[in-house]
Amino acid sequence: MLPEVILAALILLVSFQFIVTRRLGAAVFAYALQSWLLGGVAIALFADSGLIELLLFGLLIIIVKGVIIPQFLGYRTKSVLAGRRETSYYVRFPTALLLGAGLTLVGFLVATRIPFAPQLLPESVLGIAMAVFLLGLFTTTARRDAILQVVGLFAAENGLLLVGLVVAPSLSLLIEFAIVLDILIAVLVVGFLVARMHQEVASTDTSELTRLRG
Amino acid sequence: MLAAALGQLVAVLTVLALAPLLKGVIENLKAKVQSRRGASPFQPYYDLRKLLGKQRTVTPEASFIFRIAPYVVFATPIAFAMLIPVLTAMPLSWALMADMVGSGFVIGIGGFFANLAAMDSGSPFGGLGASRSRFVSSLAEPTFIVVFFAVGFISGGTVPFVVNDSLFTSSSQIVPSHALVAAAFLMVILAEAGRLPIDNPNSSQELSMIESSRLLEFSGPDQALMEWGGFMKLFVLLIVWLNVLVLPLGLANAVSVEGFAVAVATLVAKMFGAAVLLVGIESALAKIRILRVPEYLGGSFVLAFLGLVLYTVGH
Amino acid sequence: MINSFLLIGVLAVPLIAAGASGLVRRDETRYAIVIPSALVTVALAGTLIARVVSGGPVSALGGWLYMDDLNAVVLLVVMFVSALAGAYSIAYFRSPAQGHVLRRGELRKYFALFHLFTLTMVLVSVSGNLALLWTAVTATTFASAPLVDFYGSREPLEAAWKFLILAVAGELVALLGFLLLYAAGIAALGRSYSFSIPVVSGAAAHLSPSLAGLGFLLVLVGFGTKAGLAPMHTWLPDAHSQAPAPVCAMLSGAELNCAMLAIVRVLSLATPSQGGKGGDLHAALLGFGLLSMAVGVLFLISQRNYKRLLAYSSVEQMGLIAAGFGIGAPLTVLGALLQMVTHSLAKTLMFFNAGNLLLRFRSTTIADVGAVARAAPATAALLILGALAIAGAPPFGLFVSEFAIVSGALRHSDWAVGSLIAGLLLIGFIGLVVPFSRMTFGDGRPSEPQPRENLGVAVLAPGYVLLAAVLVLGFWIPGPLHSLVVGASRVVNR
Repeated sequence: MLPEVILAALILLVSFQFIVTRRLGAAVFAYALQSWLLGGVAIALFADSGLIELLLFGLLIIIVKGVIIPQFLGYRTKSVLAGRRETSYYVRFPTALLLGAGLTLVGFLVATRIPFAPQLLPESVLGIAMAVFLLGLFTTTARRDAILQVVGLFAAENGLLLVGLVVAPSLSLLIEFAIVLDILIAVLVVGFLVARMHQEVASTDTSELTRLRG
Repeated sequence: MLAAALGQLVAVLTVLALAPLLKGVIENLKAKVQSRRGASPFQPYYDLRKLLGKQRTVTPEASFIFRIAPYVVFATPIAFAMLIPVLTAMPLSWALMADMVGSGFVIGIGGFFANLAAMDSGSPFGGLGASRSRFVSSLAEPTFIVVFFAVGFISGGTVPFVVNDSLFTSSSQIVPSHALVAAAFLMVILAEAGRLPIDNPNSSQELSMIESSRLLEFSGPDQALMEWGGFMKLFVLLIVWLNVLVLPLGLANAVSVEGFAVAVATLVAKMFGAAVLLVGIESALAKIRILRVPEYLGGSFVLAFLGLVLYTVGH
Repeated sequence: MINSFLLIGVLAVPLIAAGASGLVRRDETRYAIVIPSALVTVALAGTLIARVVSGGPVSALGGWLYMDDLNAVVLLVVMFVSALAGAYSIAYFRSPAQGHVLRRGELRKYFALFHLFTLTMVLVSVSGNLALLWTAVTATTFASAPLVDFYGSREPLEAAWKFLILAVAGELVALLGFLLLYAAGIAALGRSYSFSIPVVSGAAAHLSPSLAGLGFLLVLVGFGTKAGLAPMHTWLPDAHSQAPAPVCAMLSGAELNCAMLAIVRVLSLATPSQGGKGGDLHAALLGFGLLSMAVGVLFLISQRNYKRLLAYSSVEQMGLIAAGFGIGAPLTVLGALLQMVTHSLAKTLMFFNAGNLLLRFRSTTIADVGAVARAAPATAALLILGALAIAGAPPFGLFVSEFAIVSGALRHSDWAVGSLIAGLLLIGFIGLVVPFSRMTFGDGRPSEPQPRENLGVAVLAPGYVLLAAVLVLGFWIPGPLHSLVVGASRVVNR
C-alpha cells in the first residue's frame, strides 16, 4: 500500500507547481509528470490486487495523458507561443500559494467527511485526490493564460481519477476509457480555440477577452 | 564504547572524504548535461591540495575573526556530522548531545563566522555577500523550524535518530505530510547551501554572487578550509534529507565492518542519486532574482506548514 | 431486435450526416443532407418513443443504450428542435444577409459540427449507463463550443472560451458526484457492478445515503452549470447570444434540457435511499431553481440586446423547471416535464425570430429594431406571438405547464414558494413582452434607412411550425404525449 501512497503524495506536490509556475512549458511538463505518477498509482494497485483493468487503466493514463496530451499542448505552446511566460496574473504568488495551501487543507477536511468504505487505498489518498482536484480548479480560476487554465482543468481531472481509484477501484474499464477519451476530445477543441485566440488577439491571455458584459 | 567512538570517527572521515567528491560529481554531471566534457569528478581534491600548498595572505585590516573563521567553518559540519545518522541507524557516542534544533544551531555557527569574516575583511563584496546570505538564511529559518516541529510532531521527538526510526515505521496516514515536509526541507537545503535557484555556485560575476563573494578575500589554506567546509555543509544537509526524511535504507544497525561497508556503499549510491536530482533541478531552473527569494522560501514555508497541519487533520 | 435497430439507428443517422457533411465538396450537397437526415431521425426517434409509450423501457447494446419515459421526453425535444434548427439553418445561411458574412469552408465546419451536436444530444437521451450519460453531456459541450465561435470574431471567441472552461469545470464537479454515486452502490451491489440506470435504480433504496446525497449535490452543482442554473449561469447569456441563431436555438432549446435530464436522473436515483431526508435534495434543487428565476428575471428587465434577453429568459425558465422538480409534488413534476417540452419549442421559435431580426436589421440591439409590423407583417406576427408564447400568456402551451407548476407549488409546498414563482413569472412576462412589442410596433430609429428585403418562406416556415405546436399544446395535449409525461413523472417520483 505504501508505494501508492507515496506516489499519490508526489502527485500533490506536483500540483503545487501549477500554482507557482509562470512558464507554460513547465506547467505542461508538470501535467505530464502528474499523469505518469497517476498511472503509476494504478499500476502499483494492480500489483497489489491483481485486477487487470487497473494495469490497463494505468497504461491508458500514461499513454493518453502522460504522452499524447502533453505532446499536443507542448506543440501548441511551442509553435504558437515559443517560450512564453504568463505576464500578468489575477492572484499574486504569495496569495496564490497560501490559497493553495488552504485548499489542500479543505480537500483533506472534506475527505475526512466522506463516509466511504476503504477499498484498496487508505483515506489519506482521498484527501490528496480532493486536494489535487481543488488545486486544479483553483489554477483554472487564478490564471489568465488560456493554456494554464486548461492545464488546471486537466489536473483537476487527474485528481478525480485518483478519487475514482480510491472510492471505486474496480470501476469498469469501459467507463474509465470513456472518461479519458472525453479528455482527449477536449484537448482537440481546446487546441482549436487556443489557435483561434492566438489568431484573434495575438496571445493566449484571456484577459484580452472581456467585451461581453451584462 | 570504544567501538562507538571508532564508528563515529569513521562517519566523520566519510563526510570529510566524500564531500569534495559530491561537488566534483555534480559539476561533472552538469557539464555532461550541457554537452561539455567537464572536469574530472576528482577535480575538487586537486584544487584543495593545490590551495593547501599555497601561501596565505590576510588583509592588514582583518582581525582575529578573519583568521579563525576558516577553522570554524570547517569544524561545524564535522560536529554536525556527529549528531546525525550518517552511517548508523542507532545513535553513537556523541549523537545525543543535541537534537535537530541544536544541530541547526551548530551548522548556523559556521555561517555566522563566515559572515563575520567576510565583513571583517573590509571588502565591499564580502559585506554584500554577508548581508545577502543573512537575508536568505533568515528567511529559511522559519521553514527549518516548522520542518523540525512537523517531524517532531509526527515522530514524538526531535533527535534525528528517533525521527528516522518513527517516520518510516508508522502508518500510511503520515505519507502526505511527510512528502510535503521533505520537499520543503530540500528547498531550504538548496537555499542554505547556496545552490540554484537561489545562488549560482558557478557564477563568476561578483555582483550576482551570494555564497562565493564571502570567500573572495581568503587565500591558500584558509580558502581550502572554507571551500571544504562548504562542500561538507551541502553533504551533511543532504545526509539529513536522505537518511532522516527520504530514504533511510542501508544504515548499519551495529558497529561492524560489514555493516559500515554496506552503509558507505549505500550512502555513495544515495548521494549519486541526490547529485542527479540536483543537476536536474539546476539544469531546469535559472537563478531567481534576489527579490523573489522570499517567494521561494515562503513557498517552502507553506509546504512545511501544510505538512504539519495535514498531519493533525489526519488524526 | 427492433429496439436495438432503432436505438443504434437514431445515433447512426446524425453520425453519417456529420461524416457526409464533412466530406462532400459542395455546399449545396451539404444543404441537401440536412432535411433527409432530420426526417429519418425524426421517424426513428418517433417510432422509438411510440414503443416506449406503449411497451415500457427498451434497451440495447447490453444496457449501454436505454430508453424510458424520462429519456423519451428529452429525445422528443432534441429531435424536434434539431430537425427544425437544421431546416432553419439552410434558409438562414442561404439568405443574402448571411452570404457576405460567411467565409469559404465555414459551412463544412458548421454542418459537420451541427450533426455531431445533434448526435451528442441524442446520445444523452438514449444513454443507459450513468458513465455514458456523463460522457455524452460532456460531449455536447465539445461539439457546441466551436459552433458558438462560428462567426469567428473576438466576442464569439470569448463566449466560446468562457462556455468551454466553465462547462468543463462543472462537468468535472459532476464527475466527482457520479464517482461518489458509484461508491454509494458498492455496499449493496458489490465492488464491481454495472453502472447502468436500471441496475442502480433497482438498488436505489439500498445506496449509502450520505454518499448518494453528496453525489447528487455535486451533480446538481456541476451539471447545474451546464443547465444554466444561477449562480453558475454566467457563461450562458454570452454563449447563447453570440452563436448563430439556429445554434442558439439548439443550445437553449435542447442542450439545457440534456443537462437537466442528467440532474433529474440522478435525483431519482439518489432520493429513495435518503429515507426521511429526501426532502433535503429536493430543497437544494428548489433553491437553485428559485435563485435562477430571480437572477434571470432581474437581468431580463435591464437588457438592451434581444439575444441576451432571450438567454436570460432561458435562465429563468430552467430555474422554473428546476423548481418544479425541486418541489417534487406530482403536479409540479408533471408541469416541469411539460415545461421542458413547451419551453424548448417556444425558445427555439424565439431564437429563429432573433435570427430573422438579425437578417433584417443587422443588429442585436433592441433600440435598433422597430416597426417590424409595418415592414413585414408575417415576421412581425411570428415575433409578437412567439414573445407572448415564451412569456407564458394563454392560450399557449407554456401557460398550461407554468400554471401546473404554480398551482402545484401552492397546493403542495409553501404558499410563499408558489407566490414567489408566480410573482417572478409575472415580472418576467413584462420584461419579455414589453421590449418585443416595442420592436414590433414601435418606431425604431427613423434616421437609419431600413433594409426592405423580404425574408423568404423558407426562413419563416420553421417558426410557424413551432408556433402551431406551442399553440396546440395550449389547448390539447395529445394522448401519447400525456402518457409519456405521466410515465416520466413516475420515473422521477418513484
